[in-house]
Amino acid sequence: MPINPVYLEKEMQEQIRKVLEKEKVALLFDFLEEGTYLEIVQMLHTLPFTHEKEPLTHSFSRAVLPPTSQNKTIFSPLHPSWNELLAFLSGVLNKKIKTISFIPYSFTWKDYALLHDEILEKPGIDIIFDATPHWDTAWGGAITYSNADVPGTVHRLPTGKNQLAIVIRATSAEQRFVQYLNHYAEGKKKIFLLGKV
Amino acid sequence: MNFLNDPQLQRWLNQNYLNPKLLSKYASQCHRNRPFPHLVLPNFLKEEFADDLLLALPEEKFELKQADLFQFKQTADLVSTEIPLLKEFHTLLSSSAFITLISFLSSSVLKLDKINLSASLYEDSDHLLCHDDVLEGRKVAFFYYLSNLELEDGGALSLFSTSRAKPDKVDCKILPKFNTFAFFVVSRRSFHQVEEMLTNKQRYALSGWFHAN
Repeated sequence: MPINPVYLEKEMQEQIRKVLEKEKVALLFDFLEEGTYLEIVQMLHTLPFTHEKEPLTHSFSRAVLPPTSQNKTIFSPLHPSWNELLAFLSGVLNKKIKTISFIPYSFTWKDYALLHDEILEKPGIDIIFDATPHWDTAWGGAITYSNADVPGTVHRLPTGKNQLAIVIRATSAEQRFVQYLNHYAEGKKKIFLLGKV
Repeated sequence: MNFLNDPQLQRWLNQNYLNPKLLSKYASQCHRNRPFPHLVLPNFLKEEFADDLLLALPEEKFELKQADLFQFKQTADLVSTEIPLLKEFHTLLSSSAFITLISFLSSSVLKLDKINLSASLYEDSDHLLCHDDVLEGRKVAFFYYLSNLELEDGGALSLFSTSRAKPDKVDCKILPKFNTFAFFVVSRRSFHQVEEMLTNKQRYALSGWFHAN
């Protein structure tokens, strides 16, 4: 069972639902079983990422998840445990999730993703799986949520290995950015999977 | 160029910048500079003023500014500073003689009674990512540098060339040098950034905008 059994318990899912209702953000630590997590990290670190840069909006690398025969990730629709993941998300979000596509992102020194009027995202739910084994917040790169209706308020997701973050963006004023990665991140990679509902 | 006889300009500025022939040369240089009109004026003030400004700056309160686009420390607008020398510097920059000088050098029509001026401090890993500075009224962005940086320190002001109205590549780097005044004309293609500071040097500058009529 790739998902940590603790998160499959009904009581736990009820707790997560309550946290999401109240806080709009839930962080699930040790989300996958250790072996599954390590397999995903290994697979992500061998993916051919392509670097993209548009100075006004972003600088990062993206990849496409390979077919399931070449990877063992639960985040791929052909994986035997895909339905388990969808059932889990449907349970904690209290709505039927039929499908979701995850995109792997890799950030290193000088990378960032800015807020920009031309690329505003519609309200929705972000599902972010952090596959970075070790990260120091002083290196930058925090996935951060801001609310244009409440200037000055930001919510930074902590970076943590094997962590699933569920973030509800209730209005189009709530947007996501990735803080600039400074020179202390040289030679290091922050890798995560982002899916949107 | 009657404005050059202004007592404040005479008192503060290096004599080179009171010479009409040299100023005409600079004005034409500004227009020719790529990727968009800008100018770098070294040894701008009489040295004793530059030294004293650097000594005065740390007395001002700097606050950390952090958003998706930037991370650095900045003071409030110095229009309300209590520090006498910074107050005098604000008075100089907001004087009609000084604004007329910048207006001449930048070939821009500027409002004679409005400037924004604050001090900034960039330290290790501080940065300001690519943007164009366009905001209602802003016409000329200026920087008066009070630090000496080398390329390996980071902190350069990088100007971007444009392709299809978007920033393309860094075309020109202005390295902060003590007592240097630099400015560029703000437009839809004045894309620029402050490179990340890579060492523990301090990058002090007084900067702001002159406005259009």
